[in-house]
Amino acid sequence: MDSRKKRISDPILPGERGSNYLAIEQKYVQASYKLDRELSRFEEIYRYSVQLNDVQDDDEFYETACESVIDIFEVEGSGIWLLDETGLISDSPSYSVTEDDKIAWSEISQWLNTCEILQERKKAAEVAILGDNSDVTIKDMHHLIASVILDKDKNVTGVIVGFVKQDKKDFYETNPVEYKSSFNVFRQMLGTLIINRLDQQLILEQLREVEKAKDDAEKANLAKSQFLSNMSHELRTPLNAILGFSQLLELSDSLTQEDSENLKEISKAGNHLLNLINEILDLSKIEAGRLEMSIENVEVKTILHECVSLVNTLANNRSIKIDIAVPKGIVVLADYMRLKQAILNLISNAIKYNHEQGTISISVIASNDNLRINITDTGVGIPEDKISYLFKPFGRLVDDKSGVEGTGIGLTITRKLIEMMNGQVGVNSKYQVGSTFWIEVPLIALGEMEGQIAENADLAEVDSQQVTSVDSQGIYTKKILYVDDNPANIRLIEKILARKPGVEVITALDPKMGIDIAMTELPDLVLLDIHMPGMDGYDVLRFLKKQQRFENLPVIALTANAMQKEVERGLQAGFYEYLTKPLDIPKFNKIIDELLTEPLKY
Amino acid sequence: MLQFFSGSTRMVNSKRAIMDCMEAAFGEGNDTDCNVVLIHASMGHNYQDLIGQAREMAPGARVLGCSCCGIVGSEGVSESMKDVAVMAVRGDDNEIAVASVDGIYGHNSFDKARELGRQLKSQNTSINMVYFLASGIDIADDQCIKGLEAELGSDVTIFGATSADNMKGIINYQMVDDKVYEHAAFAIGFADPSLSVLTKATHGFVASGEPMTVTKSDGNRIIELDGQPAWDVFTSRLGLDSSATCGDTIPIGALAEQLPDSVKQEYGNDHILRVVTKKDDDGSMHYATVCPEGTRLWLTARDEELIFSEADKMMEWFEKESGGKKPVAIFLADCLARGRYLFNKVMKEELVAAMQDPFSTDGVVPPWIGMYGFGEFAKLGGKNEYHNYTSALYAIYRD
Repeated sequence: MDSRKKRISDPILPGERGSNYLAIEQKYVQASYKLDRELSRFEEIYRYSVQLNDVQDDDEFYETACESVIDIFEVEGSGIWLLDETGLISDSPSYSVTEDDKIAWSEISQWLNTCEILQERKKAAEVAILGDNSDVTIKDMHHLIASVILDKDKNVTGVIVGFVKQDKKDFYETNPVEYKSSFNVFRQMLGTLIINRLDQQLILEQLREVEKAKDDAEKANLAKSQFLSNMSHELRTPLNAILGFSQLLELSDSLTQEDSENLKEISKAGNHLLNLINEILDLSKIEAGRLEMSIENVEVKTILHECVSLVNTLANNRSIKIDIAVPKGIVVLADYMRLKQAILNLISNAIKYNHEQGTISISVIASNDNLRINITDTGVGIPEDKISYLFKPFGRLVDDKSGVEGTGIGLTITRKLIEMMNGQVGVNSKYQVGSTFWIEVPLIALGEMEGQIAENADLAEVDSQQVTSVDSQGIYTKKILYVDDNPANIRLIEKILARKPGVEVITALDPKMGIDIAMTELPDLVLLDIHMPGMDGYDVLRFLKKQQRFENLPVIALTANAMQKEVERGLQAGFYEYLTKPLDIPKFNKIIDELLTEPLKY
Repeated sequence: MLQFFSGSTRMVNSKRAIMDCMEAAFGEGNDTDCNVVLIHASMGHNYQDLIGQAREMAPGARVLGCSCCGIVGSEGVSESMKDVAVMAVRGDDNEIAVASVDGIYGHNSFDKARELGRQLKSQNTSINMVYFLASGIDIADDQCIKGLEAELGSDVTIFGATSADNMKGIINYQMVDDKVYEHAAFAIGFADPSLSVLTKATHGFVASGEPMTVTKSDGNRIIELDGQPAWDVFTSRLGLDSSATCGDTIPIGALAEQLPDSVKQEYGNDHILRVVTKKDDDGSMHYATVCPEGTRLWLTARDEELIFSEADKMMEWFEKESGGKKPVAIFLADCLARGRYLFNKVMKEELVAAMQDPFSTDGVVPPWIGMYGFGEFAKLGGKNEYHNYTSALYAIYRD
């Protein structure tokens, strides 16, 4: 810069203008230009490395790599050979970018095969140039630059080439020697990108496999849930008949001792099957993500007393004492019904797997933001090596000859339910001594727990849930219409209702017939199956409700479809009650009695 | 009312390059059809692919273009073998006219340019400005101006450039619709009454030493200098061997002719520069304009500081002449010897920024197309003039 300033500021005298001066200056400019060009190449190498790194598709990647050779090094065309296992250069490149479709690729490949860069990798020969001074000539080719692409282990996996043909040499005159260094950097960058690419592809493939396995598992799970849902319906229908008629027979005075015992076995087996179906259904709902939680504040003492009241009879039968040491006012965050289900399961297990005259202690401990509810039994305990199987489906640790009934999925459901409430379930057990199963759920308030005041609950204080018997006095003569396409179900309901004085039962095996009867007989109550041929229970309900005279007619759904979603749908549609099969006869009787003692509303 | 849209890119694939430019010009997903698509592209491109893609994207447009040594767009400057810049013009058909001729050389430059003027006039008599582009190697550019003026009058403003290769002086291309030519010229006549154009050129070179005298010439062909074969004298004075090519002489061999006193101040220089674009085997050389015997030619030296200070003065002139108004479009013709062969990247970008910044609004450059070519057209002393080794700016304003 200084010399140039000096030159310009000097006075120029006539004849003094030295012509060599311009040429020298131009050489200086050209040297700067070459340096500038090489710097630009490095800038472009960086730019293309960023661009190539974002390319997903293989073809696009290699075509862009070919284009980058043309752009960065200002050559006419380019090609990339990807080597196969033989390590030989094929007659034509794997990828190329050129305007000319008559490039002598086979001659280029022959030259490459004899090149030092492919014969033996030497640092001095990482880039090969074919130019004016070369011994070899390639048809129409003016100059050519080539280099190898290496893998992680420095094995040659490809060759990259840039070229200028004779007829374009005047436009692409930069001697490849000038950009040999940057070309070497470029091919290293390309090699690194390809290595990264292969690594990424491997990871992506593995991810895809995992993803596919997950999809398959989800599909299988969905299919399983659907199957279980369908099977549940199919099983519930005959179970309704089995359990219903068993209950009816139990009421008979004419049974022999042996008949009664046989009947108990039928009821026991039926109830076991029903429990199994219910639990499987619960599990399938949880796994399908269809179980919705209604998280709210739950007072612990209340829920524990409710649970104990429900298992009181079972505990009494085995002379097992249940102690509750839980202060008032402790509040946790949970779904009330589902927490109750989980606690009930643990207490039931504590009863089932306890010794006769054993003890169950229920206590609570607050830790951090959680409350732990401990249910400790004095039962058989669990061997340490079996504990890991406890919470797996059908992982029952006792054999079927033990006489202890169980579906084998109760603990699995318990764990999943509690986890859905952001809680945990666990067990501490000592073989032959007893076990403590615990539930931890988020704690909201400690109540009277300050100071760990223990409170022993006297089970005698716990009120058992009493089923109110219905007084037959004051019942009006009422007509009940029952519509169901299953004759066994109809017979069952007829027999149940036959015990109620003043009730006339009219039945229909077909929904249309049911509507006709309703229109003529004007029943006081309708019992309606849901799945029927031609019209389903909802159609019949809609029809009836459209009639002004039946606006307030109570219609009760009796169906084997016990999915919660269906229950909600039924109640929303306008059914007075949605009762599921197998029928809980006491509950059924209670509802019927309540309805029949009320004055007519229409 | 004519509207202008520009885009530029550096991309190897010619079709994709045009797509990129059109997308930049009109915005992604927008309609790209228009009246005229003007393309500047460097020598590494496939010109047939360029015009093919442009015609596909703007089926209703006249597609025009040329080869060059690099481009300047709104996006900045680039001088690779794979540059493309596009200026698209959209408006009413009666506001724009296009003319083209093939086979233009030094000896017929006047007639061919007059033919262009005739074509434009036959389409629209209200044309008040003409963008002119011709082969840059072997034509007489002053005759082109005269030819156009013979039909359109001397009041019409002629601006534009001559096409180039990458400073080799071997071949250059012009594109007209679906054909690529080597000796063609085209002109775009603007007849939008709401538009006006300001043009100005500046070089920043200093004449030095003893002049050479043209002792024998034929039109734009100089046969002898100082009584010797012209090429021998010229290369000798440059310190080069006579085997040197135009690629060797162009960067250092700007020839200067003395200007009349009346325009020296306006031009900021005593001399106007001329380039030698071609040499013949007989030792004669092709000059950019007609060069009568007796003409005195000086060698020149570049003055970096003068180049920048003159560029600043030029921008001040635009500011003053336009009354501070911002242009709706800019055309730039820059001499290829002022690009990467003269400046390093930083300085070159600085020079371009010095021209773009004053025209920009909140940092947004108006639609802009520029190229590095062999020659430039811009007014001097109120008359249309041909220049070499200059940066010539053409700013279009809406009244």
